[in-house]
Amino acid sequence: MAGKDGFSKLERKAYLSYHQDGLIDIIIGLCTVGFATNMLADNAAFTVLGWLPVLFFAPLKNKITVPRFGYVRFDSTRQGTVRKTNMMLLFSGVLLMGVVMFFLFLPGFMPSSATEWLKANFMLVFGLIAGSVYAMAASVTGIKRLYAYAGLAVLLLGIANFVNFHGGWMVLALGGLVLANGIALLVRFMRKYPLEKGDLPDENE
Amino acid sequence: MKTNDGENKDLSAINELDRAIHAPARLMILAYLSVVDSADFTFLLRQTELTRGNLSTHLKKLEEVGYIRVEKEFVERVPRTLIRLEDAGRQAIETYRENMRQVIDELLT
Repeated sequence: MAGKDGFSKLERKAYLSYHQDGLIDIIIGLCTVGFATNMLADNAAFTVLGWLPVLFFAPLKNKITVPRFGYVRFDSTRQGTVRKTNMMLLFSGVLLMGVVMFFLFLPGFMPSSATEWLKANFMLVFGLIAGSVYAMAASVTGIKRLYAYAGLAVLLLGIANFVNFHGGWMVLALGGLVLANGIALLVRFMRKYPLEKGDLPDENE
Repeated sequence: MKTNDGENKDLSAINELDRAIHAPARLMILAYLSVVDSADFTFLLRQTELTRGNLSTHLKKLEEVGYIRVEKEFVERVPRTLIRLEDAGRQAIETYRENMRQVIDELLT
């Protein structure tokens, strides 16, 4: 069917154009900043607060993107796949982190030398996990700039690991850079697409 | 050497091209609608980069021939006019593609 196969590039373009607004970057940036604050303040409350921006994603999309860029409903099969993949990504990231923590802190499961290495290079391992989750998200969504964030996560946390710098500042820098890029994208998006009436023009318009 | 009749016969698919789709703007609208479930006027406006009046005119034409359906819906309590591709429109795109492919094949061989 033409719509399903022949226009897949067009479908991809239409789908990706919905993420030109930088909102996804802002939310990821805010979450990362929240996580960094938790690391620096050593207060678990910030972890919970760090996830709060996720709740604002859909309302912001409706308030900012839809009036400017229009409303679109993608194929229900695709929407279902995206939702499943997002859940899978989140689950795999958390699972991976849990597994590393498990091996890291539970004595006897790994040779002590390996445990020591993991503890000594925690920020590098953390950076690799964060980078992998970003890269998986980039691969699934097709949003290429997420690959850059993946590289940045590995680079900054790798530096924190080798220069014996407090990792929280590097995570904060990572979040800040992602957030700044998101804001820049949002400003550009709002300038490029000023407010439009969402409906068909009236007969006498 | 081909006769005039022969040449005309080779390119007869041109005459079968659906004029409702053949206009670039309408083809673009149908192509976008074929890859989404439904979209509103603003989305099509942004994607096609047509003017409001132009898009409105082409949508009316496509609705008249029964290729699209325009309906009012409430999306999260906001009234929204959604535009959908009808089965007839999907079939028309498929037929148009086949005819165009045939025309191009004939021209290149």
